[in-house]
Parts: sequence; structure tokens; C-alpha cells
Amino acid sequence: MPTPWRTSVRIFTEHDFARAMANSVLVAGSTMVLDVVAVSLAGYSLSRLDWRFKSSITYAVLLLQTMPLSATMVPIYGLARALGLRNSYAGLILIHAAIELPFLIWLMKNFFDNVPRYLEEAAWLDGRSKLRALVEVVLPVARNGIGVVAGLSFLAAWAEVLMMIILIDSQDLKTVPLAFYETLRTQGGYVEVQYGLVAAMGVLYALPVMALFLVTRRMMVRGLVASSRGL
Amino acid sequence: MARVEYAEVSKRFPTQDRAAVDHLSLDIADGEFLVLVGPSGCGKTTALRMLAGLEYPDRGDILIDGRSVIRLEPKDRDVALVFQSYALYPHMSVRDNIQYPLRVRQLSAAERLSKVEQVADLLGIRHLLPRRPAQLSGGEQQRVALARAIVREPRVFLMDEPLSNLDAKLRTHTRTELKALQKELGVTTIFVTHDQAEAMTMGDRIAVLDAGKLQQLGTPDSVYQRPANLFVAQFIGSPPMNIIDASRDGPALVLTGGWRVEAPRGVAGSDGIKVGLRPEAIELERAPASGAQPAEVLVSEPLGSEVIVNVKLGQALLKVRTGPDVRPDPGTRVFLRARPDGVRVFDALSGAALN
Repeated sequence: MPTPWRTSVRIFTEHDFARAMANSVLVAGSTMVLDVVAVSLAGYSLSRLDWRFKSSITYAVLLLQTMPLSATMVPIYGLARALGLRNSYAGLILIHAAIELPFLIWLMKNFFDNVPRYLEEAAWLDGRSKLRALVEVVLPVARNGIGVVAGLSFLAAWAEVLMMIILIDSQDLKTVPLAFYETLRTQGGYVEVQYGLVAAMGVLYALPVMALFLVTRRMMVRGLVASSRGL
Repeated sequence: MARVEYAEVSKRFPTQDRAAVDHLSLDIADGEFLVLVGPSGCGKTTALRMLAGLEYPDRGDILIDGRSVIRLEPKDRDVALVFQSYALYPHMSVRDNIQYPLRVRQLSAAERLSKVEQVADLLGIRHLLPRRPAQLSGGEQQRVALARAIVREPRVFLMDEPLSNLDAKLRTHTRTELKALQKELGVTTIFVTHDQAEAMTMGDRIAVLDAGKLQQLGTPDSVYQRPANLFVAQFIGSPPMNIIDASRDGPALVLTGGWRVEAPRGVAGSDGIKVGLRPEAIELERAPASGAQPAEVLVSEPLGSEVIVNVKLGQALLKVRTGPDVRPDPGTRVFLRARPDGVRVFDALSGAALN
């Protein structure tokens, strides 16, 4: 009778789970960092700068979010192949980061709207460039928003399956969702789900997310509550 | 160490009908304490922000020490602004807030801290240095904002209604402190307020603005005694100047109610004039006297050191300042006399002063 321990060890020996976890952490973590940087800049300009087509662009950004992933699957495959992004970490990270951008930019813009302008104005007068004032004064004050953006973007990349299937077919790059998929075994004409392996993988899969949540939970809760009541 | 000039500065915000600032020209001397005063929406804050570089003028030029600054970024202008909301960085301690402007300079940490402590001593906030802005009272926050401005040793201090959020007692106390501090530091200061009393007590000179236009620029005395138009006459002074319709009859001015007052020399205009008399320019007597105009008392307001007597003259309601013992009851007949040097004459249509 297979024991839980022996089953769990099998995910490492037979399915290279360690590599899958490492890949997932790398991709989700990098996506998070890239998204935070991009969203801070984009959200800030949407919040502060004033130009004629600003509201059109804001709505366009929001509208892009409604596009379901399954509809964009094929075009993204074509784009990734044309740009040589298939089977590369860069491809995975860039595309995941891009998928999340519309919603996260709009979210961050709202957080920035709640940071009063006189703070960055004071920083300008104190001798800072616009970028330094953003980083040293505005972002710390909006850190709850950053926490929410970081958490959401990590989570989205962590759970993403569809894009993984489209973008990679190399065993070196597989992430945990793909490792789950591989536990399906065809035996004698039947497709069998090996629940023991799935359970073991599931437990380990949930751990980094829990860790991240423990670290950022205060920021995230404050951020999510603040956006409903107004800072 | 700086002279500031506004040269025909105009700005209009796209969402508004009229100009926020309309051809404003000011010349501010080095070391002067100039107050920009006027009702809400008169353009005083916009004018200040244009000097700071936070707004950009549509037309005109702004110069510091003879050099135009409108193409400079706020960080390159060497001006410090104390915001009405204080704008303290909430995520930093008071010490770090005050240090912040010094961090762009090549100073060692020790030099920075010593400057911070110097300024903190000057404003009496040394004990607040380790705290966060959220832990301070309004008055304390204001001092920190001031400290942050002073530590930079800028060419010009700008202050946007810094006392408006303080309670009345603290406000009057801080007024004198600020003025004394400015004299000690000798830095050119432009101070914005909507409170005319504040303007009168603090300014070396006052610039009165209304609807974006400069109404009068002068010392508190000249603005008070010789207002350039009806707006200034009624805005400056509390209680406000009495304004009465009048017409001319030879060498005299006839006010509503039949009061004859000797016309000041050199005043043209016959019809369509208004006469202004400050409450202290009207003498009030209990007994009839020749040349004194009878009027009926509506109510007396004792203020401790003086009394404001409200009297009815024809259709007009006048306020008269009297000594603390003069408190006529409502309905009493009193007799008014105008001090000749207190008679101001204005054109009813344009509002401009005629004498």
C-alpha cells in the first residue's frame, strides 16, 4: 500500500516537481516585480497628467480587461513565435505581466488619486525630480496599493495554466500547473487521475502563496478596504 | 536676498470663464513681507503657485533678482513654499521631514542633523523630532512645515494661508511670531491670506486682489486710509467702511437722509457718487449741535474697549465707533458729525476713488 510519504517523494523523483516549483516562483515573482514597476509609472501618469484623450485612454484600458484569455490565445501564440518568446523565461514573464496590466493600471490609478498632490509638489520644491518624488514620497504613501498590485499579479501568474500550455513545450521550463497536468496517466485505455500525487503537489503549491499573503496581508487588507471607503 | 517681480502675468484655467490672474504686476523688494489678500477665488494662490513653478502663466513673466524663472522647474527656483495643508511627508519622522530638502546637497549626515537641530531650536520643536506628523497637533505640524522651509535658506519664502487651519488664539499668537521671525531672517516673503486683519498686521505692504486683478498695492496705512476703490474700501477694515449714496450740492456733498458733509478739496463729479466713512471717522454726540446730523440708534454693540453703535439714517444703516462709555439705547436720537479728513469719495459706476 503506498504511503503518503512515498507518494510525495515520487513527485520529486518522477515528475521533477522541484524544478516546476522553482520555475513557478521565478516566473510569478518576476511578473510581480515587472508589473509593480510598470503599473506605478502608468498609474501615476493616468492619475496626474492631464491631456485631451486621457479619459478615452482610461476607458480603453478598462475595456481591454474584458477580453477573455481564451480569445487571445491564438494571437498570443503567433506573436510569441514571431518574437522568439516561446520556450523562454523572458516570454513567460513578459506575457504574464502584460495580461494583468489593464486592470492593475486602473487599480493603481485609483490609489494614486487618493494621494494628495501637494505631497509631490512639496517634494519638487524640496529639490526632487518628478521621478524621485514619485519613488520617495508618492509610492510610500500609496504602498497599500502597491501591496494589492503585487499580490494580485503574483497570484495571477502563479495560477496561470493556459498561457503555459501555449508558450512552452520544454520540460526545463514547466511550471507547477503543467506538473499537475502531467500526473494524468493513460493506462490500458483509461485516463487515470493520480490523486495521491495531485494532493502532494497541491499542498506544496499553496505554500508560497500563503507565505506571500502572510507578508503582505496587512497592506492588502488596508488597500482593499481603502479603495471602498476612500482614504 | 531676492527681489521678486510679476510682469503682466495672466492665467486662465480651461474650466473657467474668466482669468484666474489678470495682468498682475508687482514689484517686491528684497527682504520685504508682502501680503496677497483677497476673497476666495481672487487669484492669490494661483499667483503664488506660479512663482513656485507649480502653475505656468499664459502670459507675462516672473522674475527673481531680475532673471526670469518661468522656464525653471520648481526644484531649480530656490523658493520654499509652506502649504496651507502643511504637506508633511506622513511616512517620515519630523526629523526626516526637515532633513529632506537638505539631502540633495553635498552635506554630511552630521552637518545635516546639526542644521535640523538649529532650526528646530529656533521654532521650539526640538522635542518633536522623533515623532511622526500624524502624532502632532495642528500648530506643531505648522511649525514643522515652517522648519522644513527655513532649513533650506531659500531666496524667497512663499506661504499659502499657513495660519488658516489654526484656532483663533493660536493664529493671532503665531502671526506676531512669524512676522518677528521673518524680520530676523530677512528673507523676502510673500504671504497669501483671505483675512484682511492678518494682512494689515503682518504686511510691510499689502496687495489687494479681486477676480484676478490687482486692486491696490500699498502699505497697510495707505490701503486703509486711502483705498483706491470701493472694493478695497469695503474689504479692508472691520467693521467695514460705511458706504452711502450721495450727490453734490455746491461745496457740499448731500448724503441720503439729508446729511450735508463738506466735500473734500479737488473732488470732481456731481451725480452718481458714493461717500465712504469709516466707523471711527464719524463722531457721535448725545446732544444736538450745530451742523450735526440727527439719526436714530438701532443697537449698540459693546466690545470692551470700544462700542459699535448702529444708527439708521434715512435708508442707510451706519456703524459708528465710540468710546466704551457711550452706549445709547435703541431708539435714542443721536447726532453725527463727519471728520473731514475721513471723507472718501467714490464714483458709483466704476468704484474708483475720487480723492
